[in-house]
Formats: sequence, C-alpha cells, structure tokens
Amino acid sequence: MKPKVKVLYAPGNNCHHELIQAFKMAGADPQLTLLTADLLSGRQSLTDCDMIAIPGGFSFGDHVAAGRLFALELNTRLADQLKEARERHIPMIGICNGFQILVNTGLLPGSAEIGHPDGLLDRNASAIFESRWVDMRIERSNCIWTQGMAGETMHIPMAHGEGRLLLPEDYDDSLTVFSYVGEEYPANPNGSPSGRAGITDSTGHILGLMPHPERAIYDWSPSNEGLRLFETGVKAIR
Amino acid sequence: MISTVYVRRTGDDPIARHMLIRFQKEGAEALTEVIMERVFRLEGITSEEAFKLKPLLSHATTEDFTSKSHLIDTDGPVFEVGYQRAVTDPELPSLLRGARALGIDNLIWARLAHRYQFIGIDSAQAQQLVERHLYNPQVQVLINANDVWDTLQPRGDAGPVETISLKGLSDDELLEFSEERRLFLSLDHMKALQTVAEKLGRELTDAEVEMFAQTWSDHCFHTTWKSLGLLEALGKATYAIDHPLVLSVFEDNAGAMEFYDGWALTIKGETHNSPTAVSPYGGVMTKHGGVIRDTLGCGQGALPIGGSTVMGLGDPGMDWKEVPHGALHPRTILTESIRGTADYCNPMGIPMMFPVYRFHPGYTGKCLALGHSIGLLPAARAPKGKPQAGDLAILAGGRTGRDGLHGATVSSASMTSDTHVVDATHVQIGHPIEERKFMEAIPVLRDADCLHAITDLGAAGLSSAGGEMGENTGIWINLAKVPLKTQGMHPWEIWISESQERMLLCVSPDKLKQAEQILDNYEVPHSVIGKFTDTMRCQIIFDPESDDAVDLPVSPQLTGQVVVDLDFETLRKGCPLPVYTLKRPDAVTEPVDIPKYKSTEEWKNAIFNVICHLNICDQSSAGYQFDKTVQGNSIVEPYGGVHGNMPNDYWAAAPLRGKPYAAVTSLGYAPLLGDVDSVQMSRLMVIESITRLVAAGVSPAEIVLCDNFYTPRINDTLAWELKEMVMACCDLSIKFGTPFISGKDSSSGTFIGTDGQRLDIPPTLAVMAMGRMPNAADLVSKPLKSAGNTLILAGPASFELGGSIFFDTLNKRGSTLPNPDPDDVLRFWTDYHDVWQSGAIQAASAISEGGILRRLFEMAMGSELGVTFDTAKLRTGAILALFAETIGTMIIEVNSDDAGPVSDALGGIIIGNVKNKPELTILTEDGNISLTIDSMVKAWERPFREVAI
Repeated sequence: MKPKVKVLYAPGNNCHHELIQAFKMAGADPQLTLLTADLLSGRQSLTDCDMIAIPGGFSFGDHVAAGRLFALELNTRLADQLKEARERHIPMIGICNGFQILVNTGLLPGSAEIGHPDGLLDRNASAIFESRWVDMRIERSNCIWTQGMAGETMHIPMAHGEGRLLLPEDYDDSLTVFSYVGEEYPANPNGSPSGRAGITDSTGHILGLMPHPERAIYDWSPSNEGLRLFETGVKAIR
Repeated sequence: MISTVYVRRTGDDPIARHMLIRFQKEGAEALTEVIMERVFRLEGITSEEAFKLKPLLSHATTEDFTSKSHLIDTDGPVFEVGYQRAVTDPELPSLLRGARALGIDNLIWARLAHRYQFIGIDSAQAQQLVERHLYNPQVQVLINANDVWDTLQPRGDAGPVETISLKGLSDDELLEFSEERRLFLSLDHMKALQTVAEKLGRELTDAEVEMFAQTWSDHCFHTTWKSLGLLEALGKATYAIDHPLVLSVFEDNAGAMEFYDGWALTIKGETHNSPTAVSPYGGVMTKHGGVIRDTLGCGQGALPIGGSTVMGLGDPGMDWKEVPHGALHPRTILTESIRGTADYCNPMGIPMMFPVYRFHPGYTGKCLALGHSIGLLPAARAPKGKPQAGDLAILAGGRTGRDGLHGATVSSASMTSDTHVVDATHVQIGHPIEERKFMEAIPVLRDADCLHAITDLGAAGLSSAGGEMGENTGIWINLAKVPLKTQGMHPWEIWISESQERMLLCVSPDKLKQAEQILDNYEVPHSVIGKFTDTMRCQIIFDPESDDAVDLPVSPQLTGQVVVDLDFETLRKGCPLPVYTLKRPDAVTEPVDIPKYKSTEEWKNAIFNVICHLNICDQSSAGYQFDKTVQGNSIVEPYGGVHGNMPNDYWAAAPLRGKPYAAVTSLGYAPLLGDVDSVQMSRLMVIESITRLVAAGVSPAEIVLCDNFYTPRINDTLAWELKEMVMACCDLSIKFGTPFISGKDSSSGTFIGTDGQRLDIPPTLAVMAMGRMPNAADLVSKPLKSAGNTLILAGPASFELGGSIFFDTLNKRGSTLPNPDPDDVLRFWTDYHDVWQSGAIQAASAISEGGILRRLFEMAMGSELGVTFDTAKLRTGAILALFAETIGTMIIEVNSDDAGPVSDALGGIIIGNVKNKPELTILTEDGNISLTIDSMVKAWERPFREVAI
C-alpha cells in the first residue's frame, strides 16, 4: 500500500498541484483535502492518513497575516485532530505558506502548546516579495524527512514575502534542518537569523521550510534536487 | 455597538521602513520615519469580546493590541485610510470567519483601516503622499478620527431605472449629453442612438443608452479597426494559412493551438493602458486579472500557466517639473506597476514569463500596460461552448460594486489632464484571492461537463458578457439577484460595472446542483442571475420579488423594472464607423553621421552606454519580485545562467505534469524602432519573436502569434500607418505560414495636456510567439558552453542603426531600419532547425535591441566564460558589427570541429570564439578592446535598480 498523504487546501493555496505531483513521484498516494468542505464539515478526519502536507500560496488571501486564519481554523475547530496527529507522530510538512501555518499553530518550533505560537515568519528584511533560486545546506537533525542527507546541499526555488524566521530565545538549534548557504542577501533572501530556512519539532516528524522542493523534481527542470526530500519522507514511514 | 482595537508593530517594522525609503526617493527627503497602525472596527461585540479576537488580529510577541491609538498628532501628521462606507472590505469574510473560529458568533460586521504617521514633514506634504500612494479615492476615504459610526454596514437603496429622451435634441445638445454622461460617443453615434429610439417608438432607458455606448466603444467594438478592415485582414491571413495545429482563432477570449497528448495551449495579450496611466497600482492589477480571466474563459475554461507584464513608459529620470499636468511621473508608474504586478500575479500562482520594461518619451502622457496569459486545456474543450435556451446564467466570483464604471468608454478616449479626476471611477479594484478561487474551480467544472459556455466579465461588465453569450439565443437577467458590495447602485450601474474577478457561467438545469456543489467546495460565491431564452432579445429586469430563474419558464416575463429590452439585431448593427481618408505620412529622415572612435576610452564609453541603456540593462530588481517557479513546471525562466542574472531570450515550461513536452514563448517589442518606420518595425517584431523560438530549437512550422497593436488616436495619416502595419504583419504571416491566432488593438495612445498640447505614443506593436517542443531537455540554452568553441553569426544580417539603442545613446533615431529579406529569413529558420536536429548547436541567442555586443556580453555573463569577437569578419566597420540590431540573425556556439560545416550550412560568418577568461575582447581595425565581464555586469546592474526600488 502506498502511504496516504493528505494535501490540505484552503482558498488561496496555489502550490498543491505540484506538491501532489512530488508525492506521486516519491511513491505516495496524495489526496487533495479541502479544509472547509472535507475537514471542517466533518466528512473526513485530519488523522485518517499517513502523512499531512500543507502547501504554499496565500491561504485566505493572507488576510490580517500570512497563514493566520488557516492556522486559527486548525487550532480551534480541529484542535483535537491536530493534537492526535501530533501525538501519533503523523509526519507533517509545511512549505512556504504551509510553514507559516505550522508556525501559527504552534506546532513549530513546538516548544509551546498548540494555539500558542512562539515563532514568527516575519516580513523579508527587504520588505518585498522575492522569487529566486537558493542553495540550502541540510543540517544534521533528527528530522525524518532528511535522514541520510545531512551535509548535502539542495538547489531549489524560493518565492515569498514573509520568510524571516524569528524564534524564541531558548530555541534549540539542533532543530534546524535547512540553512541557506551564505547568510548574506541574496543567498539568504529574507534575512533569517543564522540563515535558517527550515526547522523541525522535537520529535523530528514535523518539518517546515520556506523554499519549494516540489518545484525542483524533474530531470528537465533547472534542478531535480527537491524530489529526494519527498522520497526520504515517504521511505521513512514505510 | 462598535468596538475599536488598534494593532501596532513593536520594534523594527520592515514595511514602514521600506515605505520610508520609497517616499524619500519620491521626493519627500525631509521624511525621517513612517509609523503604521491597523485599526479594526468591530460591530456587534463588546470591547471584552473584541479582546478575545487578539489571536486573529495580532501577533503575540511582535504586535501591540490596544483599545487606544498609539499615534498622537503632535508627533507628526496622522492619516487614516479605510474603505468608503458604501463599500464592503475585502477582508470582511476572513474576519467574520476567524471570529467564529474563536467562538465570537455575534460579530456582524468589521472594517479594517490603516493609520500612517509621518515624522519630519508637514501635514500638506504628508497628505500628498497619502493621496498619491496610499489610497484609491474610488473605493477608499480618509477617515476622520472623530467620526461617530452608528453602523459599519453599507447602506443605501437601489435607484430607479430612468428613461432618457433624445428626441428633438440638436447636434450640440447631443454632444453635450454624451460629454455629461461620459459616454464618449461621437455625434454620428449620438444620432444613430436617436434613430434607434425613433425606430423602437419609445424612449431608451439609462441602461440601454449606457449599453449602446459600451457596445459601440472602440474598446469593445473595435470601430477603428473595423472601419479599416483590419480584423478582417488578420482573420483572412490566418484562415488562408489554415495551420494544422490551430484549434481556435480570434472568435474567442484567446486563441488555441494543439499541444501534445490531446491537450491545447491558449494565448492572449491584453492592454490596460488608460487605467494604468491614471492609477498604476490598481490599473496594473486589473490588467493581470483581466487577461488571466480571458484564459479562464477561453473555450470551456483553460488553466493559466504563464503570464507577462510588458510596460512602455516615459523617462523615469525626467525632471518632476517637466511631467505634463495630469500625468503621473513615469517613475511613479514604474514603481507602482511593479508593486501591482507582484501583488496580483504572486497570489494567482501563475509563473511570470516576461517582466519587460521599455522606455520612450512618447509614453510620458499615456503608458503601455500590456499583459499576456497563456493557458492549457484539453483540445476537445478548446471550441467555444454554445448556450442553449433554458440554460441558467450563473454569476460567479466577487461581488459587484461601483468600481470600474465606464472603463470601456474611457479606454476608448484620449486621456486628458483631468481624466484622473473626472473619470476616476473607471479604475477597477483587484482582489486576486477571489480570482484564485475560481481558477481552481473552473477546470473541475469543465471536466465534470458542467459548463455549456463560460466567459469573463471585463470591459462593460455584465452588459458585454451577457450580451456576447446570449446573442444567439436571447438572455434574461434579473439584476436584483446580483450580489453587491456597494449599496445604493442604480440598475444601469450594476449592468455595466467592471468590478473585477467575476465570470459568467452557462449551466444546463440538470447540471446546476453539481455545479453549485463544486463552486461551494472551492468557496466561490455564486448566484443564478438569469437564463438563456429563445427570444433573441436582451431582456434585463430589476425585480427583487421575482422567483428564482430556475423556477421560471424558458423565456420569463418582464416583471419589476425593465432595465433593458432590445433585440440583439439592434444592438449589434447600426454602429456608425468612422471614415478615414488614408494619407501616407512624410518619411522621417534623420541622417546620422556614424561616429569614429579612436581611443579605447571612447570605445568603452560607447559600449557601456549601450549595455546600461534602460531598455536593455538588468531589470531583475523588478523581475525577482514576481514568482517565476510556481506550478513547478518552469524550465527556462526570465533569468538564468550560472548566477541567475542572465536575461533569457525565451520562456519555456513543461505544463503537463510528468511529461517533458515544452510550451515555449517569446516576445518582440522594441518601441524605438517605431519612430523610424513603424511598418518595418512591425515586420521586424514578427521576425524577432519567431527567431527567438527557432533559436531555442522550436520548429518554425509549429509556431503561432499574438499581436498587440497600440496607436495614438487615429487620424488620416495614422490610419494609413496602422493599416500598413497590420497588412505587413498579414503578408509576413502568410509568407512564413505562421498565423496570428489572438490579439488586441487599442487606439487610445494620446494624451491631451491642459495647454491643449497633444502627446502621442510611438506606434506600438508587441508580438508574442508561442510554440511547442516534444522534449524540454533538447531546448538550446543561451550561456556559453566551453572555451575553444567557435561563435558564428548566422541568418540574413542587415546592418542598419536606425532606431537602435546605440543611436538612442547619441540622442538620434536615424532613418533606416534593418530590412532582412523574408525569404532568406524563412530559409535560415529551416536550415537552422536541420542543424539543430543534428545536435551541433551548443548555445544560441537571437539578436535584438542592443545588437551583437549585448548578446555576447549576456552569453558570457551566464557562463563565467569569455569571448573574442573579431569585428573585421563582418566587413561593416566595428560600430555596425557591435551595435546594429540585425533582427533575424543569431549568435551560435558550436564545437570548433563543427564550425566549418555549420557556417556553410547556414551561410554564417565565424566571428570569434569562446575563451576561459571571463572578459570580452573586441578586435577592431584600430586596435583591440578588452573589458572584464564583471566590470560590465556591475555597470549594467545599476541603472534600472536606481529608478525602480
């Protein structure tokens, strides 16, 4: 059986099709799951799957703040399912807006309770949206999505206006999974302190990152180095 | 009960900091700080309940959340900007939803305003900044802090339908009426309207008069083009070619060509010049929104897979004092248009193909604001759907408001110094989230067979969409069923409003439930507003009491107020066309003495001046702000090479997931050429756009074209010129067997200043070419590949400097454009394609603005290699060899072993070779010039970045 991946969607998400494609190519069975029509309606449960993926985009128009309303819905109306998913160690990945959502739920970096976010993906230091190719270094961590990849680099695109990762003072740097190669702009396109681009939670099951590995999966693309992340994640739960 | 909370950033606020820099560059040098605060007004909840919304409205560690404003007037002027009371905030649904998630069910309405405080400047200066950059008077207002609100909800009753008597009006009175109502109808049109009323034997309603004005406008009816027979000519050429890959031409919102595996590609380019000249941020947003909807409304619904922004602007460095009264500074249009493109295209999730900015003094009064959209759909769904009597009309997407009234008519008129005041309502407001929702739903509706037909609401709004869709059956619409965002609208305003992000769907009654379910799943607001009838009439009522359309007979009664009741015959026919006596303009001749450079310093200056010219220098500081990789299919993006800064000559993506099939596009747009010879420029733009694709490896037999013509208001000489431009395109298109399958024209490129001075744009043509390629891995890339390789100039080179970037750096235009023989061009493309198939091409780049020098520099920049260029090989003298824009030729890199055979096969000339050291060495009759690529890049990066932050 192929692992079942719920790829969540709310109006404004716009990277779910390529995320579904990446999981397909990595050997999983991804399903588009509508936040309102499938989950909030009670037709489906968030935990009825092997993995959860939250794609990029501008969920709910990023009204008030990026990812906030999506996260609020998860934290309030789906709080029990979200807790269950965390307790059962269902692997989760949030990319770009999905990362912003995970931080807004409090799941990342995860030192606080669900519903009490302790990190922030703030405006880029340049205050403008940036769309570039970046190189990320894969750090040694317990993240299941990158096991065996530490020390490698990954050449993939980024595209966001709010990716400067601000973390609490007691943040444990062993949770850092990805760092931009080069801390200066534009190698570090958003001014994240220490060039952090992606982090995991203490269990290593939840990964959030700003750049887009799902945009670098084909041999004919400028890079196919993103595919390995999905393959590693899918392999980890088999 | 209304509670108010204030949210302010603590510590560094990047947005405010960026705003400060932007305003300082806009001339507010004394400004030292901008402070921002958000104000939420919340109706129906107590202040205790409002505090429970803290997790929705603010961030716990970086924002203050208080019941009082932090901004005190005495520290510096404070301005608060919010939506007008008649308008619903776009954030309202999100705020209501978030409150319910937090258990606050009694929040009934919310409004969001922004407060700005300016330190270091006085109130008048601050107000100017606010008015220029921070609010849109069309929908927003400056809010007085002392205002007392009894409710936040929009209020207002719909006005009645009025009738208009044209009977017995004199010529002067008719014109006065047209002017007062901003109809922009000529006397001929007004008289024709009088005749219509006479024939009907009744007075026209206000909505009918407005509908005629919209229908007959140049923007919708293409009166200029029709009178010159140009649409017919382009169509005839395309039908004569009868290209086997072409599936749909001209009759639809976009044209379609066959792709692979049963799929089709669509293409469309649309200008939005008038609104952008007046309100660049909003104008550019709706430019993108509109052309994207053209893709969504093409055939039975296509998915947008690529977009462009192509701007033609005046000199962004011009003195503020020289800006014509009533026009915006070109720099303001530039920076605001960049913001608008980012804020619309990024949320849409459509990769940017071409972020292109060109500068020409003629665009100072009226700019060019062109956007393209290409799409993907099953080939079987490419034909336009046909509504059937009894089908339902569903309005899907955003709500209808007063924004964008008269867009079609104003777009068809000259812009005058007071257009921005009198006709401000013609600028629409863009909310990409609404459009993104139905972009997701439309392919699902299409594949579920829910759509008999679909079209977008653009110019003239419902009146145009409903009219177009219903003209073969008849249509009945009850405007009382249209969801409004602005209260107190008249029925005629609802009928012609150009509010954005709306689509009209034609759904058969047995598919209604399924269609509504899909729209609900994707959270697209929708309303059944009418039905398609068998009356052949356009019948519009306003009747809040009427039953739902689904419960009414095929052709319902006209109940309530009758807004429009006309047969389509009357609407479509009877539009008087302007008459022109074509007059050939005098040829422009400006003989230029080609300078003779002696010293290395002179040569270097000339070279740097060319590569640093604003039209061809590094524009990536804009392009990096647009998402170029979303959808995950991009292969060749606007920028590439080892450092990601080399401008590419074409764009390519593999839009069928998991398949290597590439859609490849390119653009030809060089406005300086138009000053010398607009007809020859037209030929060159066709040749250039195709050559770019051929260089990539696309078969010349698998390319289609999209034209966007933009001319000043037509007079007899411009009519001659326009006709010749179009005929030149038709002739070349037939010769090459490359059809135009889509396009758009605008003849509104004239600005009239307060002193009556007329400022015309240069006659403009932008050509987009689109082709296909079976394997993306075979695309030829631009960066140089390895030292020791040979460089060949191939193709029919015509060495002229007229209209060149080089001449522009000397403030000259010249009198002759390159004139390659079309037969030679076609032969070259075919030969090149054969050579490409043999695998000998290592790198290639098609020559365009800036000439050979520019391309060698770019190819080297993309590779960390260098070039030796022996100008003597071309026997033209070094200046022509470096700077002549020999459109139709390419620089080709081949292995030195292949150099002889390839240059023989293509009739090319070996001009140099690739070397390890990253420098450009130019051999001339008078000595050698060597420049490091690094020093060139540093200079080339600067000019655009300095004007466009």
